[in-house]
Amino acid sequence: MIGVDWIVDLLATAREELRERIQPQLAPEDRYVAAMIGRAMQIAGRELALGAAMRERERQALAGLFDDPAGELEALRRQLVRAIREGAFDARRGELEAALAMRVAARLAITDPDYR
Amino acid sequence: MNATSTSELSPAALEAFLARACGATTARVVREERLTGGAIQDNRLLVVELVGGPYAGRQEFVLRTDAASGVAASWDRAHEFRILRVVHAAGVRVPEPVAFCDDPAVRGRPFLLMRRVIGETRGARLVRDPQVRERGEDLVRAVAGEMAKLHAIRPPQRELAFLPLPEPDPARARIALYRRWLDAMEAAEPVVEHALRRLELAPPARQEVVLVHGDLRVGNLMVAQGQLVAILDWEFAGWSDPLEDLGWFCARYWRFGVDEREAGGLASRRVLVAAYEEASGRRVDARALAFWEVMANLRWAVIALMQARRHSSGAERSLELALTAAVLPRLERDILSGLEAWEDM
Repeated sequence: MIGVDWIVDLLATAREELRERIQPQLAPEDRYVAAMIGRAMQIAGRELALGAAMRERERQALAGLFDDPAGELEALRRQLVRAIREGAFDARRGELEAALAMRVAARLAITDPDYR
Repeated sequence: MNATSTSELSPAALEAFLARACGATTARVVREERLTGGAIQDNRLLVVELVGGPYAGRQEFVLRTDAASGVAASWDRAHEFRILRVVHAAGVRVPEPVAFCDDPAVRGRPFLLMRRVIGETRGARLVRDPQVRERGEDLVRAVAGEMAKLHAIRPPQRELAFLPLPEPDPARARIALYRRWLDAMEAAEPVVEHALRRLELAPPARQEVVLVHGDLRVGNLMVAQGQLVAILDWEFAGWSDPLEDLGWFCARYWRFGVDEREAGGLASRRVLVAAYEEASGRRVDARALAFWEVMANLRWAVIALMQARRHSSGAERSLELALTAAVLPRLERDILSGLEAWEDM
């Protein structure tokens, strides 16, 4: 029973309690803090449910730019940042932006999935 | 609002300073309370009884102190005070700067004192306030008028000699600065890097160097009954292109969800540009404004990374700072769409 699904549900339930029962009773400045706590829990829940898959999606997008299918995400990011600054992608703008859009979508899925 | 007791430091030292700074025979602090402020400074309301001098009587001042850990981009109180004096003298609507104190015996840290202005500053609240919504266009016109007065201040200014001039021009100076900040954090941010590169390849042909606010957005306006009372928080001011302030004001993040009103969630971009053109006598090039709007998102992305580091490095543990990291994906989306819009123009 104790697995990722359970934790995700646990966080969502705890957040609901915070929002429905605790937050309305708080002073305005504490309500803001409660809202931040709720947001932290929401992000944590999405990270548990989707984080690994989303990072893999970003990794594949960046790996495709370097023909390095096994490249590790952090190393790929560093390599990409260096290459961009040196102008190595000036002539590959479309391809680069498609990969960056994949990265952004993967990250938004964790922080703000409804952001358009 | 949180009422806290008078300073842990000697009230006598503060009163002696107030008397001296205000040309009064005596000064007595009747009340002190903490005001809700930005993530960087500590602002306190001081109600003071002054005998004699130009401020004689009961005065309400705001005492603004440097916070424990700062942001690389921001000026300290000594410099903010000088900026405030220059813009106040130029007739920009700001709280009147009263005095600056760098004697640690008074409050432990340097602070500036300004006359209190009253109104709402919380952006998310302002853009949804019915009075503000109704008068959004007038409010934006008023902001444009203040921008025009501010942007009429050009270098050199003796009191602002500490502000570096952008070399070789504002756009390229910003790009170099943001790269330095990223490198200092050892940050690997491909979307930010890509945008810096695109902007570097085609900066606006025409740029000017004027005094800009550097953080001019709805959360730094003080508004009462739908009217602009003052522009606050001058710690990011500097010499730059005037369109940097307009781009920042229009950036989607600072519309607080009221996306269809592109000028700060208050009115259309057209209203802002027309009012600014009229008040300043400048013509606003739409493509250059789009350039500076991407730059605004870039700047905020890099500063958000620095804010998040303040927390994660242990310098200042705070949930608010920690959550700032979560704005990055939204800013990245805005950067990519802003780049596309700019390059298509």
